[in-house]
Amino acid sequence: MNHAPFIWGSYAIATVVLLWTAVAPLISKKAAFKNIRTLNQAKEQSRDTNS
Amino acid sequence: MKTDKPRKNPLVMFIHKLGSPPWFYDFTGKFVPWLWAVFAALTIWGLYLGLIKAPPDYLQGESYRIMYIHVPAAWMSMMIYVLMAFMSFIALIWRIRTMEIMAMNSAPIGAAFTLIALATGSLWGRPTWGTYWVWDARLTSELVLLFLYLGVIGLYKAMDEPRKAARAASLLALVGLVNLPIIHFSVKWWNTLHQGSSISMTGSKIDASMLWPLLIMAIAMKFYYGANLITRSRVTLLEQDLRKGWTRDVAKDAARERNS
Amino acid sequence: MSGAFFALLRRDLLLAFRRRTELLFPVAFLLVVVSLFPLGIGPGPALLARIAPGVIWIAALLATVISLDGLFRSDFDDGTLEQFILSGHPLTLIVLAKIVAHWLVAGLPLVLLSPLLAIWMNLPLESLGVLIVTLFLGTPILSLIGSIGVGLTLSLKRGGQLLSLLVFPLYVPILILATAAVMAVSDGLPYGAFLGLLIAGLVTSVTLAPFAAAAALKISLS
Repeated sequence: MNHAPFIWGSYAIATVVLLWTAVAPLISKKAAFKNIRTLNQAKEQSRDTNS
Repeated sequence: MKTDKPRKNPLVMFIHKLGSPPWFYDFTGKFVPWLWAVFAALTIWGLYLGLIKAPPDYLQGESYRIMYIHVPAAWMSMMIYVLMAFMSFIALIWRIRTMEIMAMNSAPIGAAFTLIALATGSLWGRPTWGTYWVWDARLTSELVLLFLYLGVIGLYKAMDEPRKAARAASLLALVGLVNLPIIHFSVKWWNTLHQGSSISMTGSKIDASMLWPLLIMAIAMKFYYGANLITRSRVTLLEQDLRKGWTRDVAKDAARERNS
Repeated sequence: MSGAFFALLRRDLLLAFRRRTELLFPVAFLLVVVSLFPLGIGPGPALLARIAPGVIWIAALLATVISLDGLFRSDFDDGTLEQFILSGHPLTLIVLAKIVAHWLVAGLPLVLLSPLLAIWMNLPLESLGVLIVTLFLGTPILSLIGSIGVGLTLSLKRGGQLLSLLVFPLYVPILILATAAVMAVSDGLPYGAFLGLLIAGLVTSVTLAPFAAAAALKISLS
């Protein structure tokens, strides 16, 4: 039996899982920054209109 | 009533400072890139030694090379659970928020390693024993470990209030830790009872040229865990403190850095 | 202090008996689940005999998890549980009383039903005694460990579904021990060690689980 596809497959799965685990929080981080910005823009706008 | 004496002990001050989200965010941000760098370097070195330089195995041929990702992943899956339980313990007793966050963020990373261990173990089993799955002690234990992780993650995500959710999931993690050795031994026993496969995964004794890449990969994965855990924890702090001032400053600095 | 324990035990049993028909639900579930196995696998007596201990025990696990939701549910819904926590009585004892009541009502019927299930699954007669003993020792452990899971998921809307995921890994050792004991009998091997470990598990659970369940309740109601 040719062992190569099993070896390649294993490392491929490991790479995909580790990559996804590493990248997922970075995507959340971008979304978090976006939320922070929109929240603060809304705050500044309401402050401007009130002053 | 206790009065706090001013403590000059630097270690205590350091731990105390880590409890402050903006300080934690700032401090960890400085060395996270280094953790990733060490992980990358060790992985490249380990894979080179393991996939290219090490000779094929006498019994298993080339397929034993799966060991270099399977075994470190399995070790990490167990180590992370213990660390998660340890952090959970501290979080429950001292109610330190950053500990809660780090404990909870350990769970998905641990689950990822468990998944890798299961998948690579299965793929290793096919050329070695002929089937994609065997209910041997180690794989079965890993499967139960995955369920334990999913339970912690599920419970944490199911509650709306993050601190309460973290406390509940922390208690679950601790209960799981107490049970983990019992589960481990009972599964091992069950396996021998039913005369399952008693072939050890690595077959013959490991030669030094095969051992080094294994150890290097094992250490590399520890750096991955550290880097990923800190990254996730920082993001969680941002998400939970959306409305606080320090996140606004951080977002401003980040935007300024990107635009410069 | 023990006054509170027995008072609560009496109260829970009284409440359960007022809704007698509900006591039959776990029993009915157990019967249905076990009868599904021959239907799904085939009625061959030799095969059924071999899988009988596992099937009966797995059915017991499932029935326990289903019945566990009721452990704290009604007290949680009408605020009694909060009163218990505020009452100053040790919550651990309160939890233990409720678990005992729950076992008498939901676990003991499983033990009593096991001869019927053994006949259905063609379990060899000499194994029946050990099966009953394992169920008698094991189902309280299931209730005890399960109560921790119930405490943790109490405030969730779909807590029941998550509950299975939480407790099944913890149930694995009990399942392994109990089925090993029963299978040892039919193989003619010594089974004393397995029963001894089950007893040890019961003692450990009785002493530790109520604390964990009480802590879980305090978190859920915080």
